Amino acid sequence: MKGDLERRIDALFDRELDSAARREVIGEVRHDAGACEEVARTQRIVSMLREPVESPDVTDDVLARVDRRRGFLTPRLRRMVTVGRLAAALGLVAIVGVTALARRWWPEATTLTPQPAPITAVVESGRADAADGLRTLMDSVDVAITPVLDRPASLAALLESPRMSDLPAFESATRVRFVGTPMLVQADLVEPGSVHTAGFDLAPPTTRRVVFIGIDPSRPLVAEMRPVIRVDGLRETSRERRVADDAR
Amino acid sequence: MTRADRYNSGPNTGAATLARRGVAAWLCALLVLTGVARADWDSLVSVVSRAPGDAELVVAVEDAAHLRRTRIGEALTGVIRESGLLERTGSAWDELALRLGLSDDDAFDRLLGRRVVLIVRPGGAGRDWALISDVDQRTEALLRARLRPVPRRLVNRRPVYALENGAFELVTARLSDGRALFLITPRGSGLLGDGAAMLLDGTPALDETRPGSVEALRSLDAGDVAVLWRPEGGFAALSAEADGELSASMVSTPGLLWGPRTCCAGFDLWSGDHAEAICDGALLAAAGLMGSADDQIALASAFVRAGPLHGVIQQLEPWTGQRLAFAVRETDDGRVSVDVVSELIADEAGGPVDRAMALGARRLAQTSGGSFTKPPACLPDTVPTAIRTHSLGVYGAGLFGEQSSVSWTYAQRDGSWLVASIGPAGSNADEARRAAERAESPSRGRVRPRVSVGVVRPNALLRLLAGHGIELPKPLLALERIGSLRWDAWLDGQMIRSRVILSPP
Repeated sequence: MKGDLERRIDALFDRELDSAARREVIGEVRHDAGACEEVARTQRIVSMLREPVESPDVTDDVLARVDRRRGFLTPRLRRMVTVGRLAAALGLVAIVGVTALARRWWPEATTLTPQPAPITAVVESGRADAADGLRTLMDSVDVAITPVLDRPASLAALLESPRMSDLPAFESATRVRFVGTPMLVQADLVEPGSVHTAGFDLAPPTTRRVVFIGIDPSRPLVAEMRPVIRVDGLRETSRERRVADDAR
Repeated sequence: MTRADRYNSGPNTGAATLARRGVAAWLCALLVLTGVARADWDSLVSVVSRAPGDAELVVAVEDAAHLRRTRIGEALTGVIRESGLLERTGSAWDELALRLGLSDDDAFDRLLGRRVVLIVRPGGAGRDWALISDVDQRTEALLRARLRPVPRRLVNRRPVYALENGAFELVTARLSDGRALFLITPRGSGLLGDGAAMLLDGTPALDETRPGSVEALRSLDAGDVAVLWRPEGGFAALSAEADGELSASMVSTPGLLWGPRTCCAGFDLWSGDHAEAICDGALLAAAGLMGSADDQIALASAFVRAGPLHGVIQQLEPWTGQRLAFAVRETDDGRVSVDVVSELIADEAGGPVDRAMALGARRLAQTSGGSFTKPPACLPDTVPTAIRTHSLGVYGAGLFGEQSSVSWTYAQRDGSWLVASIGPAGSNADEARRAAERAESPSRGRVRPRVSVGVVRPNALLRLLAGHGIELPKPLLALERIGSLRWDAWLDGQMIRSRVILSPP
């Protein structure tokens, strides 16, 4: 029976008994001095366990010892890791700052795809059209009146040179147009990409000169300029006209 | 570097400089566009007069949306679209309109359709410019929403925005009564800054730098468009209004728009009704003064001189004066005749001029394969009013008929005139006679001294050319939408005043 009481006293402290069983055990303990002492001792032990135990804080020492005993990184490497982490943080801050500034000052630099620029297009197109418009219109007038004025034939008649008919610029020109001063007349030939230009220097009446320029479209116009025929003192009478062929 | 140092560093690109310019431009825009209360001519002149003193070109347009919808506005819009001369600009404008979510016409009306001012001045690398427009607040909000301007700085509580990679600077502001302003300039533009400073300091602006130019503009007829152009050595002012037709009145210094630069001291000018009579009924006609400063005309003149008429003109020069007119007409049988009326400065010119004209006829006949008949030797000196006629054969791509001829005679009115006509062989003598009658028409009292009078009727002229198989390029075909362009320029003191009228067909 005594062993059974001890077991039930343990169950009492372990709060495994219901209230009826608790009252029964407590009633039995009151009549058993040994059991009563056992209960009092157990109660005292439980109370002592619940009280805090005073002892020194050794956390720092323990952690410091653990830290010192970490064998996978040396202190120097650990400092480098720390510095690296700090640098990465600063870099991130810098990137954010630069991006913010770039969006403010150079918004185009912050986008990967080209952004439409309609105002730029209007302004630049307007400039280009204004520059080309008058020239295009003048060329259109020139195209329209060239067959009327028969300019190639007129120029050939002007010079009245027997060699003129041999010059392709006047034999097969589709149209002649002004291209510059003092008097540059450009004749487009039938052959694709082939252009000849006749230049008339009209400034000094007594040294009037006619040059023909064979144009290679891939080369600058001026570089191709070469005098072929010089007409000095061009007058309406053949007696006063001398034609010299510089090229021959 | 402190903020102040950074702002003050650099010649023109410092942030503070840009900011000041932006604000100054804004202030100028505000002064320009809100300092006027009435939408009338005086207010437009006031707008122009407050532009910066070194502005080379100032254009102020009132209610461009209405101008676009007038008959002549629609005709000109059609010319621009069909000619292709502004094709790239049109495409770019369409893109801008698309970006704004508008049609191209709506974009024009909302962005530029109320009051718009364009100011241009010479810059370091080309032209510096500024565009100021009075819009409604809805459009101002649309601009800010769709063009995504980036705020660059806040100065005096007024934001200055960057547009399109910083290529442009934009300042906007909302005003009362639902209006708003936007000002756009290229990056780094200092165009309006100086002008605003001048205005704020009370320093006189535009007018004082070229005395008289603004007053000249103010003196013109009221209009919806005011233009002041001030290149080196002169100025021109224009006022224009449009309804059924576009009517522009102008005043300019000689040589800039009309006449030689040396005009007009020592020049014999055209009597008004004389020039009008010569141009009357022509498809293309002009009466003006030789010696124009226009390079294109000089070049064309050089080409004529170098052509088959070389020597002819050289021989005529000692006898001809500065007044010269020509007229292109449609003959009764649908052909073309070209009349030339040239002033002769010597009574004894008949003989030499006849010889020169005969030489010219021979030259033209040689180039066209036509015949040439030597004129009777006694005719020139004995019968000045007789019609001299020489065949030119096939000339002018059939415009003058299968056989053409040149005829000339002399007319008397305030001196002697050579009257020549190239046209169909059968009727050209009559054309020359009618031309001489026009050149001798009696005065009707309209004798205001004219520098230039002329008319172009593109619609009729192009139809005539097309009817003769002349292939016309697209830019010219588009001009069919224009009925006529008439001009009249006369001397008024030291200035030349003029009126140009553009009419739809």
